[in-house]
This record gives sequence, C-alpha cells and structure tokens, in this order.
Amino acid sequence: MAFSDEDVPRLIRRKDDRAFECFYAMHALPLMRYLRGLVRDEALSEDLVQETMLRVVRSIDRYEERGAFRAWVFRIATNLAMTELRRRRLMRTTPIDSAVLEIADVEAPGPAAEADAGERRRIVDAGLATMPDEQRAVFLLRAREGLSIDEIAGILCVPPGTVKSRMHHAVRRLVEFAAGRSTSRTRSAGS
Amino acid sequence: MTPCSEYRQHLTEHVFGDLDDAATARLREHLLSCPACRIEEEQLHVLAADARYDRFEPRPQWRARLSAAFHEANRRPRTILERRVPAWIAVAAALAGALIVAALPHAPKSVVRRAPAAEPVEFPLVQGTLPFVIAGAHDTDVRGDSVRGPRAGSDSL
Repeated sequence: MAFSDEDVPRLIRRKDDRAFECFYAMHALPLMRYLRGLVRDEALSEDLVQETMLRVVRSIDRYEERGAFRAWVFRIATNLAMTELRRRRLMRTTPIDSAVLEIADVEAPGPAAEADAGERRRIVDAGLATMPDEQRAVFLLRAREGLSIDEIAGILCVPPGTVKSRMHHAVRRLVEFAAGRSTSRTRSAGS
Repeated sequence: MTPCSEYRQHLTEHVFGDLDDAATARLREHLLSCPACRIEEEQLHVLAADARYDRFEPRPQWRARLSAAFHEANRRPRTILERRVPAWIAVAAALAGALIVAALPHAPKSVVRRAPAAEPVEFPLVQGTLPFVIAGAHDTDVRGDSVRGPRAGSDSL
C-alpha cells in the first residue's frame, strides 16, 4: 500500500506498527542526504536524523495537518543542525572560513584528474563547504531535495525573496568556485 | 536594450524552474540571440544535475538503530507538554489571562484604601526636647517659637 506524506503523522499518532517504515521510506533518507550536505559529518548527520525523528514522534500532537509534514520535519532538522553548527563554531579556535576551505582543499580533485561527472560532483561538494550555512541549506533543499521556494521559506522562517536571493548567490559562488578550480588545474598542468 | 547581466540575474531561477512565465518567455527570447548567455545557461543546467546526484548509501546498522529509537519513543506515553492543547482550552486560558491582566491596573485602587489627606497635627512643644530630635538641623521655626539647633562652634558640647 502506498502512503502519502500526510499518512505519516496519522500513523505515528495511532502508534501504528507501520509508522516507522513509512517515516523511514519517505523522510529518513532525504533527511540524511540533506544533513550530510549541510553539516558535512557522517556521524553527526546520523545523530541529527535520529534526534529529528524523536522530536517528530514526541511533538506529533502539536503538528497541525496542513499538508506540510515534510516541511515541518525539515524545519526541525534544520534548526537542530544550525544550532549544532553554531555550537561547534563557537568551540572552534580557528576562524570557520579557513577551516572550511581546508576541508574544501582536501576534497577537491587532484590537478591531473579529468573533469568528468564524478569530479564535477566533488567540486560541487567542495564548493558547498565554502558557503555560509544559510546559503548551503537553501541550495541543498532546492537543488538536491527539490523543495519549493515557499516550502523552504517556511522551513527557514524567511520571506520567499530571501530564499531566491540566497539561491542565486549560492549558485554564483559554486560557478565561481568551479571556474577557480579549472583555472588552477590548467595552471598546474601547464607548469 | 536590456544588458546580459540583467538576464543572467534570472538564470538561476530559470534553471531551477522558479521564474514566472512572462519572465521565462523574455529570457528565452534573449537566449536565442545570445550565445554567451546560452553557455552560462548550459553550465547551470550541468551544475543543477550534479547537485542532484547523491551517492549516499545508508548503513544497515543505522536503520536498525533508528528503528529501535523510534519504537522506544512511540511506545512511551506523551507528556502533557508534548500534547496539543485543545482549542477550547487554549481560548479559555487566553481569556482568563486577559481578564487577569485587565484587572491588574485597578487592583491598588480597589484593594488598598488610601487614608484621606491628614490634617496637620499640632504637637505641643516641650521645651528642650526638639533640638535633640532635629540635631544637626538649621534654625527651625515651629509654631512661631524660635528653636535653635546646634550652632557651628557648639560641637564641643
């Protein structure tokens, strides 16, 4: 039997045995994919998905059915992730930008490698690491998870115009990052 | 003529399907005559496709861990704080709160009675006591009698 997005809260409220399967199939994997991109830490992403799921279960009676269960789940996940990122940034001794760039350098493709699809994806991942958290969240939700501008605005509690602007800047940043990578690769190959 | 930079501002929205119909039509018309913007559009389509790609494969242990945590949490009865408050209770609580707040500014007037302004009370002046009471004061005239406080130079007493 196929379930819809709004079936999940009903199954959880009724404590139906199928509730977990339904939640896992519809939300756990997209959440994990999104959080991995946002926090860039596999173990932390797993913990955040679990915490998001537990908060959904505990607060399910407070969810008002307005056809936006997925957005509600992503909002909880985003808030948890942003809080954790802020906490980690406060504990860090080196400035976040240089730390992020170090990660990007490590994950960027080697100079001799061919610019095939796999490498382009790695460049996208490395470019994502250089973005502010809010921009990265918007880009991942729109480009990777396919949420609408209005859904993202609801998740991040910002106007749709802000979402569009962040998306635009995120894409520009990725394009410039990719262009910088190809230039440095060409220079390395020439020398 | 609209410069390319203005069209390029909308390329992201166009590629991700967030541009309205009229703006999309204008942009498409421009793209037909501008190879440079077409190249940029193509680059953004490639970027969008790359960003969608996902290599994620969940670990089997993770699924088991999630399942255990989910069933544990869903078995436990939800506390009153986790439950949704019925609308009528929320409305009643809000009304009660509003009534209490509305009543607060009047409380001092109705509860605390103010004594009427007191008539000035006249105390008979007992010679020799007042100067001790108002020690340090300057010369004071009470009921027309001149009572002098300690003067400068009399501190030696």
